Amino acid sequence: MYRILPQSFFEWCAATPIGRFIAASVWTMPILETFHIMGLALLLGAAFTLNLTVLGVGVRIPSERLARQLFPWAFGGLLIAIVTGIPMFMSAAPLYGHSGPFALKMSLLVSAIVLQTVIHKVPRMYGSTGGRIVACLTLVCWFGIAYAGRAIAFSNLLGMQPY
Amino acid sequence: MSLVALVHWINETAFSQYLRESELAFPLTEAIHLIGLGISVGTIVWVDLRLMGKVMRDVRISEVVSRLEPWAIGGFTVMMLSGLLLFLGKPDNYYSTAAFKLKMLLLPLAGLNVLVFHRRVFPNVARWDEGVAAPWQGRMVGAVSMSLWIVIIVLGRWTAYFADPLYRSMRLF
Repeated sequence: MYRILPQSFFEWCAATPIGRFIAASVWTMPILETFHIMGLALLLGAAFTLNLTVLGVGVRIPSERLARQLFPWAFGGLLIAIVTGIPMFMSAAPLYGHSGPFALKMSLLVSAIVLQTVIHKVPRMYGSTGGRIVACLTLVCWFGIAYAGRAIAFSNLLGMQPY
Repeated sequence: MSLVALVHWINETAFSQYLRESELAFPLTEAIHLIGLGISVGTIVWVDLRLMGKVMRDVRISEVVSRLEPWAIGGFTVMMLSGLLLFLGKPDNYYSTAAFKLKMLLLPLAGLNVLVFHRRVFPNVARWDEGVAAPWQGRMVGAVSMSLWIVIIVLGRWTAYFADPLYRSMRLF
């Protein structure tokens, strides 16, 4: 991400009171990470359940109706993950800025949101082969986010330098 | 042989050493554990919320249970097997944390909750299949399941923190 955003931005993030507080605190990071995982479980679960229906192997109701019902929960999960993720990022922004897995995670996040929107906004996705392919791709992106997230801590998972 | 001795014996086996020293085995297992969590808890949550009448009220309860449960079981199997490997990799470390012990006590309760559901509650589903929510026993099963899983997730994350030598050295307790 340091190729897109200036180094000064990452340094500014880490120098903010929030960034400095978390970096110095023992407890804040584990607490944030705990909520981050709960947000992830809610979001991945909603995305999984929804795309199962699009694939025709989940709950058999029209996917747009299911999407409307699951959206508030999925959005809540995403919000929890983002609200806890931003301060975690800020605490070590220069490191994350140079992390390959982190850049991948953010790209996958954007792709997953775009693809999920495509499924629900483009007509005739439900039940069609095209819809199934997009749903599979979307699921790979959603779960790839979790995998890349772990890879930020372990370089060997993606064969990239974590920082 | 006491439990502690057994845990320590596992810790000293070649397999356990391989797991914790391998550059790939441990992180990969952790990633798989996390993905299994997304699939199993992710689907269990919707069954629980359906029982409680919070989502998919216009879908029959039996439909939600029968279509999502296989995924929940599959995800749980992935989580259990990867979790077993994680434990085999660092048994001494994990067993010394309170979070891990509590998690191991709560997991059978989550299983018992599912058993109660299938033995006592679900057989009568025909009577309330189209209802907004299940009767109180069903709503209870949903609420207990959600609460247990939230606590189990928290304890799981904390196990990793409290087993970490860096955090141990800080003497949090």
